[in-house]
Amino acid sequence: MKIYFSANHRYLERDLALYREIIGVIQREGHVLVNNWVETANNRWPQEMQYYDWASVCIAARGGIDDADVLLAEASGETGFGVGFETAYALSKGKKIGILIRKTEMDNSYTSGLDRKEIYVCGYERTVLADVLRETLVLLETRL
Amino acid sequence: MAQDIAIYRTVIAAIQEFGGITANNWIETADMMGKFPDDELWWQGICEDAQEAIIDVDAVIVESSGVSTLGVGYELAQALTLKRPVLALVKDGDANAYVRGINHPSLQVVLYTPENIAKIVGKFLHEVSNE
Repeated sequence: MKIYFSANHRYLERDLALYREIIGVIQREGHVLVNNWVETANNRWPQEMQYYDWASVCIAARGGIDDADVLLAEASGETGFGVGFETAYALSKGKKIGILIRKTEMDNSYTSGLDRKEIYVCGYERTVLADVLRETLVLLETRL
Repeated sequence: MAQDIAIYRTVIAAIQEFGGITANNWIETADMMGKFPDDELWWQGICEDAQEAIIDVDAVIVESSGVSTLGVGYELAQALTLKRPVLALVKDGDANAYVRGINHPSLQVVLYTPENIAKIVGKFLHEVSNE
C-alpha cells in the first residue's frame, strides 16, 4: 500500500524516535511511505518554526494524501490540528484511515470518538507498538 | 479550555448579537462537563453531534490558534468538504498555526485580539449572510 503518515509536528524532537519506529515498520512490511516529511521537518525544526512556510506544508500534505491508499496517523496528545485536518481530508477522498493512539487515551479523547466503519482507531502501548502497527496494516489492507 | 472560554463566549455573543443561531452550543456544556473526568464523556456522541451540526449550519467559526486540537482540524476540514464558509480565528502573534497554510476559497483565516474579535465575527457573518 502507499501510505501517508500524519502526526503532530509540534513536538517532533520529543516524538522523533516514535515516528521513525512507525515509518520503519511501514517500510519493513513492504509498504511505500508517501512524502516522508518527518526527516524533512527534523532538519528544519524548531529553529525555523516561526518562519515556516505552512502553505507548502499543507500543499505537500494534501498531495501526499491524494497519492496514498491509506492515511496512517499517530494522534496521541490531542494537540494535532493538522492531524485532524488531514484525517478528515483523507476521509473526504475515500482513503482508508488508521489512527494510532496511546492506549491510555483510548476512552478519553476526541480521537476515540472517531472510531467507525471508515476510521480504525487503535490503542497501543509503546513497548508493543511494532506488533500493533503490523496488525493495523494488515487490517487496513484486507478488511477496511 | 478554561483559559479560552472568555474568548469563546465573546464569539458566541457576537453571533447572537448579529441574530445568528449557534448550532450545538457545546461551550457551556463542555464547561460543565469539564468538571468530570474525560473518560466519563461519551466521545462517540460528541463527535457525531459536531458532525451533524456542521451539516446543518450555514457557516462555521473555529478558533485555531497554535496548540489547537485534532477535533478542531477535523471539523474544519469537514466544513470545507461541505463547502461551508469558514472563519478560522488565530490569536494575533501566533506564527505557528497550521491553519494559516490552508488555501481554500471557503476559508478566511483572520488574526484577532480579544478587543477586535467580536468585530471580526460580525464582519464575517455579514459577508456570509449577503452571499
